[in-house]
Amino acid sequence: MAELRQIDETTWEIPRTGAMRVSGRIIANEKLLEPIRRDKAADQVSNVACLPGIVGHAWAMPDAHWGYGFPIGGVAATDPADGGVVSPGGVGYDINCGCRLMATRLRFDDIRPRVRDAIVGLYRDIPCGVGSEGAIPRLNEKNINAVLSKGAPWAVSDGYGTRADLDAIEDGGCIPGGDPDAVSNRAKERGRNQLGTLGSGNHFVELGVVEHIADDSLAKIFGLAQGFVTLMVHSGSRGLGYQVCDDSLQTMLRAVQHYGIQLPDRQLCCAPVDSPEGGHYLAAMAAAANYAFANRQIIIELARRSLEHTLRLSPRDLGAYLVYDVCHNIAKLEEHDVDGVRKRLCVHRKGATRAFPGSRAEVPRQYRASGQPVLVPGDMGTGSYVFAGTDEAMAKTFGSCCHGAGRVMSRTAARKARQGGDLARELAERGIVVMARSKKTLAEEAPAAYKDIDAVADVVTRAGIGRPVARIRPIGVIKG
Amino acid sequence: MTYRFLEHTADALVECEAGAYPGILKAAADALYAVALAEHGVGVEVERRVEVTGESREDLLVRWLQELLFLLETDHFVASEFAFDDAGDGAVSARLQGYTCPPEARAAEVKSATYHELSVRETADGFVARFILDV
Repeated sequence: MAELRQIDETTWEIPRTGAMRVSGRIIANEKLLEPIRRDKAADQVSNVACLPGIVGHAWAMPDAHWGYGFPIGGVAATDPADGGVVSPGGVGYDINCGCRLMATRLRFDDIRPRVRDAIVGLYRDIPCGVGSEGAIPRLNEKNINAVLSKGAPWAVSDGYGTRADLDAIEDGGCIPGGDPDAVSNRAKERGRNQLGTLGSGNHFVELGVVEHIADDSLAKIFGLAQGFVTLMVHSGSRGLGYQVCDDSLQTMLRAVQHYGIQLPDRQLCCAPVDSPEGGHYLAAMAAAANYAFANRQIIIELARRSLEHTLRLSPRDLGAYLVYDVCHNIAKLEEHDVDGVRKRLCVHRKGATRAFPGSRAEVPRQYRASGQPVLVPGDMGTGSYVFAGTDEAMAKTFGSCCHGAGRVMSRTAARKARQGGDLARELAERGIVVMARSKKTLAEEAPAAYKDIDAVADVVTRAGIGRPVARIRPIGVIKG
Repeated sequence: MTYRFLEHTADALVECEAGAYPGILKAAADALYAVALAEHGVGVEVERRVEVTGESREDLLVRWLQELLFLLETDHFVASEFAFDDAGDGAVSARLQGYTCPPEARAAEVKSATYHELSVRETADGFVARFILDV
């Protein structure tokens, strides 16, 4: 296992050794570091540090755990001007997996007796689970190409949501350069029936209530108030994104031979950002990311309509509006300061969320005074956090924060420890209504399978990579 | 020919053992279906052909699993019987008999087979392979 050396209250360093081009850094506390020491996440940070053109440090966020290629919770930036590479393993299969948070004008106390009805309605109206098909008809070639190039704006033009939503989505819901021609027919085939589906595994739709406000002024800017109901969606690019990653890995495995790149893990295969292979991947990745933005846009609109119907509310009474939508599996070309010099970098966030302060041009106008919202869901029985992006995150982690609590228990161990039915009953007794297509999935997603979100949030705050705004408690969840 | 699941924090780490390489491919397919399906049926009414190429046994294993996954996701096809015309030396060619799986028979979404910690080793008794499924 990689050697770890504590350098401040919340940061451990993996010194540069062997083929590492930079040192690794892990943001954690002693307790969060225990599982990182036990599994191979720290070794994966060391592997990422071997990527050509990497600058600064290879980072792991407080929710980090063993993944494939990058650790989950991994952040790395490469400099294209210095041979910096883009690696599909630094994005993952679920390209632009991400979260979006919707606030409402509903007081929890006013709907408390109807939460079960609301969850039953959401479960009925949002396609979820393995093999589920979308709420919209199978996409023809013209439409799927439009989704891939336009993203969430396509969904809005098709009647899902409003233009105001687009102002509260990372990149306005469309990463420029998404090229349908860079996406294979196999990937399109996997995506034709799945637009507007939640998926399974750790994807969810969650009704919550804001139980604590940490910063009144930031919460006001974000439109969050104690006691009010929220809805969070976690989903991504579905089978289309998985296939784009599969396809790109084949290209990148050839590219590492072509460019003579030595790597400790084949899943990190990569190509220079400014090479034909790198450009092709970024175009395909952006297209898949746009599919994911459209997917979440459709899901949130289905949720809005479902709540209005079930709770017999007018749109005005529901008062639903989008707080923000963030990517947490993505590679972005961004400008950052490296040793006092402004550089264009390729920032990989694999299970990590952008956390830009308000001074950045990428942050929507309404959040220029606060920094962007950073959405950090915990497990389904505990809570989620909303942070604001900070200058310190810019200086430390290329403007990045964690993306969740992070798993601490394998799926097998979680299943052995739990039976899905028992878990649903236990959560119901705690006031959380859960509906899931698969009892197996439910057992795998048990709260005990995740790290303590409050501990993760505390480390984020102490490390300065996010300013705490609000804590949200779950009151109902649907899962695939 | 067997498979077993080893501990991995987020995904499915699989180890397969078989006397010959085709047995590894069959065991890996069984492991894939064990993750993806609530119950693996025995139907043989649908036939498919899978042909993949790769530079090594490891490559072939990943591409074989990715092909089975593609058939599952797009055709809802689950293989029950495997007849290998070729397996190794840069190519796998197989005739598969199986059945169409209804959505309610699915248990988990497998995103792909990965290259992380991928290995295929020859041993005194045949082959041992390890791979990770992203779930």
